[in-house]
Amino acid sequence: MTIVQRRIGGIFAAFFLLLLLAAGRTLYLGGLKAGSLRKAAATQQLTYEAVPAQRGTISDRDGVDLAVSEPAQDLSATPYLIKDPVQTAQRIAPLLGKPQDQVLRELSERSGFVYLARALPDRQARQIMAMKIAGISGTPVMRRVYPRGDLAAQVLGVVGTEGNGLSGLEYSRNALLHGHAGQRHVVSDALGQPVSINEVHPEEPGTPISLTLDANIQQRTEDVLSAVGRVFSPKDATAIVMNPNNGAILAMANWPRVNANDPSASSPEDLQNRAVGFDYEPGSTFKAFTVAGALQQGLVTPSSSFFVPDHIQVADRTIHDDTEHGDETLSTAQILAQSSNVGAIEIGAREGKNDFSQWVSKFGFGKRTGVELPGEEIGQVLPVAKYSGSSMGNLPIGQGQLVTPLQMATAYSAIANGGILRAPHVIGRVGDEPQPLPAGHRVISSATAAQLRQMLEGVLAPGGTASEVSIPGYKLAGKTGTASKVDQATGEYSKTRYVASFMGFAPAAHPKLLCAVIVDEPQSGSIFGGTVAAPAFGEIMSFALPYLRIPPG
Amino acid sequence: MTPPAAAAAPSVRTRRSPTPRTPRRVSGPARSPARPPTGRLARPATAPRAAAAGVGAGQGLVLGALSALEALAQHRLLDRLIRGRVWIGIVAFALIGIVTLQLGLLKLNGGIGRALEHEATLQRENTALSIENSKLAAGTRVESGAAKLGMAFVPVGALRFLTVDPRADASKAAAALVTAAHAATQAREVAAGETAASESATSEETSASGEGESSSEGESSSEASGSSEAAASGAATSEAASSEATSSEAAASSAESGPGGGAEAASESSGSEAPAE
Repeated sequence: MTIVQRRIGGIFAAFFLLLLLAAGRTLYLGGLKAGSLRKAAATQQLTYEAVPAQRGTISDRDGVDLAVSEPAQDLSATPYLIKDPVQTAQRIAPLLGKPQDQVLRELSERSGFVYLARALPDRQARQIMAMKIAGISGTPVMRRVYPRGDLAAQVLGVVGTEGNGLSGLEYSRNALLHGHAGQRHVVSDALGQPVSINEVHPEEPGTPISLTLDANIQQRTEDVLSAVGRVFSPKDATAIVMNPNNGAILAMANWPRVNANDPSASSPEDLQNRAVGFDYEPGSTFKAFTVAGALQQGLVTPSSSFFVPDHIQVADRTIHDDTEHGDETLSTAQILAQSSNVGAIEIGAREGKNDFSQWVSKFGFGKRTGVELPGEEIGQVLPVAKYSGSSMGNLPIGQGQLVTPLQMATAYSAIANGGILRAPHVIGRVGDEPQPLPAGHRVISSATAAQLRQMLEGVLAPGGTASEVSIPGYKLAGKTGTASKVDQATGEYSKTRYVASFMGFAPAAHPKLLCAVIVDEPQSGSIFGGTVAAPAFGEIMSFALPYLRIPPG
Repeated sequence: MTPPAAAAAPSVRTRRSPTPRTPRRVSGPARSPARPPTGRLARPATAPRAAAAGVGAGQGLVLGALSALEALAQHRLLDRLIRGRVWIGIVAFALIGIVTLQLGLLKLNGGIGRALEHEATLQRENTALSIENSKLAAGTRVESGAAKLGMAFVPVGALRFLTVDPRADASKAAAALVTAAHAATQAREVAAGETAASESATSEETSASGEGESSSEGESSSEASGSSEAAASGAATSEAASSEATSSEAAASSAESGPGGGAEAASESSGSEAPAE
């Protein structure tokens, strides 16, 4: 064997040895240490990232965002991994917006997991994560933000920490708004930079919803209700502004106001949308429907005369008019304008309980209106079989039955639009799709509706119960209501607790806008619908009519 | 004993040089050129017609491809390529290419990661802007801002709405435009005259007596007020029916501002005769 051959053999042997070493090492790493290495790789290099879905935006009819989602993080800690809890608390407490001692308590818990903050704005969360504190981790989530704070808070509702709607439209349209979170498989290099990203499930953002609400009218309505709250100190109040011709709700306000960005600061009662969830006895505002039925049946005309004494006896009850008066003769129109209880009971008596009950049902009382809002009450309407002897003494004047503000507004819309009862709606578009207008059905003839509108003008005319309310250039029509509330302790009508309300629309001849104001238990100043609710109606309409470019008439 | 190298070498040289150069060996089994083609490739040509029909078109294609591959593998050029030094370059190029591709893929993935980061950043910014936009659009904020600029809501009773009449509106607007333009021209002429008069008065003042000064001032001021009235009335000719101070004021002010504004005001006032509904 030559020296060359020997050298070649040596090199071959060396390479073979190296190959053997490499094979051995491979076997060692791939066989003996495979499990631990796989785990290490899985934790250090391979991650499954959840991609939170962007919740659908809720905007008003002009595209002004009322609820948007922004990226955020749930920050959590593994307390036993944190080496210096005191210093860590000192560093992160200002970014968490929490007192330092509270953060320290959380970091010192004898637990393997503790939430430091839920849905912390992404900017702050990133600042904390940039500190690279061992034991603190962040999970990407979406945070719901209501840019206008308390605007339409009860209508929009709130979203819980898990990203699901808990009330309002956030709850009723959660399936649309929620979307579906995605998942990514990310392989990172030694520096943590992603070298491979695979979408296991693509993220599906929620569908945006455009409401029929108008942010400016909503704002003005809420401002007016706040003023009512300051002046009359009621328990609560609600107002609805809607287009009577298509049922689109332009504003739905509640007082007290709540901050949708901080719902925990408000009581559950305040978070309720009273426009759909408040059952009340409507009082005199209901007389319009008593008269509507009688007019439609031809039992009365606007000029029909009624002998109206100061009080009337119905079974075991004596019902008085609001103000003491002698015997007088009033027309149907005057009965409405002056809101005579005795006159309305007489008109109801002409109808009879069966027909009256049918009219109550025809105008949609005792059923949900069909609006897209959750928590809608149906009210309480007595079936005719359960009428007592005195029922026809209080039902025609709006006592003894419960309605919701939206039911009343919807029923008044039928008078305003010429006799069509149409379900109100608050959602204008879902994504890019305009929502179809709800079909309506005729409840009274257009002639009857026109007669009623003309009679309701008298309420705001001199001698009417809301004669102080006027808007220059516009003819208004409406009806005041001051209903006694039942005292739960005695079971009798209270002498101190009332619901003051006003239902009205304009322009009276061809209404384009309807407004309902309901003030529950005004405490100071006045208790009457004509002095508590009607001026609020005037304030709201005097802004909304020109704002919507509705010509005077 | 091993023969010396010098002795062996010539024998090799003498052996190789007279021998005719044989063709380079081609990889694959040796073939006899005289032998007829055998095996599966030959079968379609020799097999009975019925068997050939059974093979089918698909199999024929496969066989064709296989034979092409075989021909390629036995191709002389390929053999020379593999045996030559170019092959090293090709393999090196391929290896470098693979590594480059892998690096590119890694970069691409890194880019995707950065793009996702960027997407998240844009999403955050978009949301922040959306929130800011919503806050800035708040009616109360706009109202207070407008109030600071001296603006206020027009009283509800002062609002007038126009009735659309496509047939008459165009001619009315044209007439109003001409009237307003005429009024504005007149106003400019009068203003120019006034300036000239005041200039001459100033020059007279420096040279002449005080009597002339007072008279010329009086004339020019009366002319100026008269001309502005004329301009206002000219612009608001068609609004004679409307006695509202607000509309005539608007017409007057827009007549001062120029013909376009005057025309707009005039057309508004002409329309205001018949408010909608």
